[in-house]
Amino acid sequence: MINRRNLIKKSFIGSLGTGGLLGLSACEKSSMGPAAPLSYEFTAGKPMPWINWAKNQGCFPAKRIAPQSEDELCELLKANHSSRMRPVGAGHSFSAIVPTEGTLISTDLLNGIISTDSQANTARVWGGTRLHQLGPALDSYGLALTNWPDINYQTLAGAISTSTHGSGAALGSLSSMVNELTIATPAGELITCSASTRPELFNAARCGLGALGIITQVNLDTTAAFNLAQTTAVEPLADVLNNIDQEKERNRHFEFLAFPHTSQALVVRTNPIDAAAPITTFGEEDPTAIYQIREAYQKLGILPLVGEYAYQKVIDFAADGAETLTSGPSYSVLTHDRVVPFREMEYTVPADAGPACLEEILSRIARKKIPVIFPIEYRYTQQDNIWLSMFCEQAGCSISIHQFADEDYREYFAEIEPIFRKYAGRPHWGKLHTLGSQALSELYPHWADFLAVRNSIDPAGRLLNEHLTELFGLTGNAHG
Amino acid sequence: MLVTSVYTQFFRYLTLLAAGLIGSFSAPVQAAELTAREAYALGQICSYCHARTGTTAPIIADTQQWQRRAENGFEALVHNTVVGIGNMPPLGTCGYCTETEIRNLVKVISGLTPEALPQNSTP
Repeated sequence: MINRRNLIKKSFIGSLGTGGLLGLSACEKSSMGPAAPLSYEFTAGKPMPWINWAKNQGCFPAKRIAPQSEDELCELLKANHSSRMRPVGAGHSFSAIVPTEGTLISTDLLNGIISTDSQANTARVWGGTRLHQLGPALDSYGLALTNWPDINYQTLAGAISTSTHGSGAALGSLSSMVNELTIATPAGELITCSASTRPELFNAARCGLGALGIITQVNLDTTAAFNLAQTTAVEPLADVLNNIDQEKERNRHFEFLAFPHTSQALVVRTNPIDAAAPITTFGEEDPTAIYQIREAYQKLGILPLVGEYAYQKVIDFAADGAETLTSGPSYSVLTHDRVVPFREMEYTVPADAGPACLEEILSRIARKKIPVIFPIEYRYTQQDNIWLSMFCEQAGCSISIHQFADEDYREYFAEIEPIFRKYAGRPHWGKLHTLGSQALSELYPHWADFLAVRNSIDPAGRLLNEHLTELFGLTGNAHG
Repeated sequence: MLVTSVYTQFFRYLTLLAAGLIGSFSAPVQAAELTAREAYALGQICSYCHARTGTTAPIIADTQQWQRRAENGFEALVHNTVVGIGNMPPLGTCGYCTETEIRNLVKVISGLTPEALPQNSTP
C-alpha cells in the first residue's frame, strides 16, 4: 500500500482549497457511507466484546482463556468439553473466522522461541509468538525466515492458519516454512505432525483455519540471517506489466501497487545485500500518506475527463523524485507499519493470469467510476502442497483490493469479486470473500481431504463458528 | 548447536523490556503494580506501537500527547481502548486482556490517573 512511503509529501495537495483544483466539486462518494456500524459497544463492568483489528467482526465470548502452557491448555480444553470455542491471535483477519459466543482461546501467552538449531537451520517457536517479535528473536540466533508478510502484527499460529504470505516468485508462504507442528485437539490431546508423521494432518493443519485444534508449537525452516535492500519508485503500469517476467526473475522479492484511475504503479523491488554493506535509508516513510491521496481525490473529484486528468497529474507530480531506499535485516525491510484502518479482499489467481486479472479490475474501476483510491496490491508466491493454501499445487499471483474502514467496502468488493472468480481465484481465508463450500471445492483440489481430517479431529464441531460452518458446507447437519 | 531453554530467556528479555519502560515513567502506576500478564501485554503488544515513533500512536507516558486524548476523562480512554479509535485497533489487539488489565495498562501507557482527569464517564 502506498502508505508505506511518503509519496505525496512534497505535492501541493495540502494547499488545495476546499473547492478543489480547477474548481471541481468534492468527489461523489456514491452510496458509500460508513460501513454498517458494529453493535459491539462496551460498558464498564459489563461483558467485554472482542473486536478484530479492522473493526468489522466482533463477538461477546461467554468465556476467555489464555493458557500459559500446553498442559494448562489441554486441561482447559478437557474441562471445557461441552462448549464451542475458537482460537484467536492478534485478530488481524477481516473474515469472520474468529467470532464465537462460546470460549475464546488466546494464544498470546504461549509465546517465544523454544529452541534453535543453527546447523539444521530450524527454530521451534510457540504458536502465539507475534511476528514482529519473531524476526528480532531469530536474528539474535543468526537465523531468519526466508520471507515475511507485509504486516507483522499477527501471531505465528494465526498467520500459518490462513497461509499468510509475502511476495517472491521463488518463495513460499509462512505455512510452507513449517516442517513440524503440534496442535492441541478439542479433546485436549497434543498431536505432533510432520511430512513423515501423520502427513494428512500435517497437510491440513499448516493452513487449518483454526478448525483442527490450537497450534501450540511450530518448527520452522529458517536460513542464515541476511540483509536486504528495498527500493520503491512510481513507474508506468504498462511498462511494469510488459516486463513482469523479467521483474519476477531478477528480483528476490517483487511486488507493486497499482493506483486506480491512473496509469501508474508503485513498484517495490527487494534484493539481498552484503552483510557488511551499510544500513541505508533514503526517502521518508509516512504510514498515513494514503490519507493525503484520499484528500486529493476528494478535492479534485473524479469527473469525466477533467477530474481524472487532474488526479493523474497530481499523482505524476507527487511521484517525481519520490523514490525510496531502505536496507537492513530482512525481517525489518520486508514488513511495514500499517496504521490506517482498512478492509481487504484478496484472491490468488494462477500466476500467469495475474496481469490480465489486474488489467480487468482496473478497467472495471475506471468504467464504473468506482470511487476508490487505495492502491491495488500485486504479489507472487511459490506453489506448495498444503491442502487449503491458496498456492496448493500452483504458483499464485495474489491481488488485493482495499477500502478505508470508514467507507463502505461492499459495493466495490462486490463489483470486483466476479473478476477474481473468472480467473479461478482462491480467496485468502483471513480476508473478505463470499464463497461457499461448493465453489471452494472446485478451487481447492484437496477440499474433501481437508474436510475428512477436520471431521476426524473434531467430529462434534466444537471448533466451528457460524462462518466456518457455512464455509465447510455443514449448515443443517449436526454441526450447524 | 541445539539451543534449549530459549523461551525462558526470551520471556526474561521481554519482562525486562517492560520493566525498563515502566521504570522510566514518572507515572502513577509502578512496575510492582503490574501483574505478569499486564507486563507481558505492555512489553509484547502495546509497546510495538506506543514505544516507537512513526506509528501515529501516542508514546508511553508522554503527557503532552496524552492530555489531549484524555480530555473526555479516563473512562473514555478505557472505552476507546476496548472498541478502538482512529488508528488504534480494538483492545490494542490483545486477545486475552480483561477489563481490569486494560484499565491498568491505560494508566501505565498514558501516565495518567483517573483522579487527575475529568470525571466524564461518557466517551
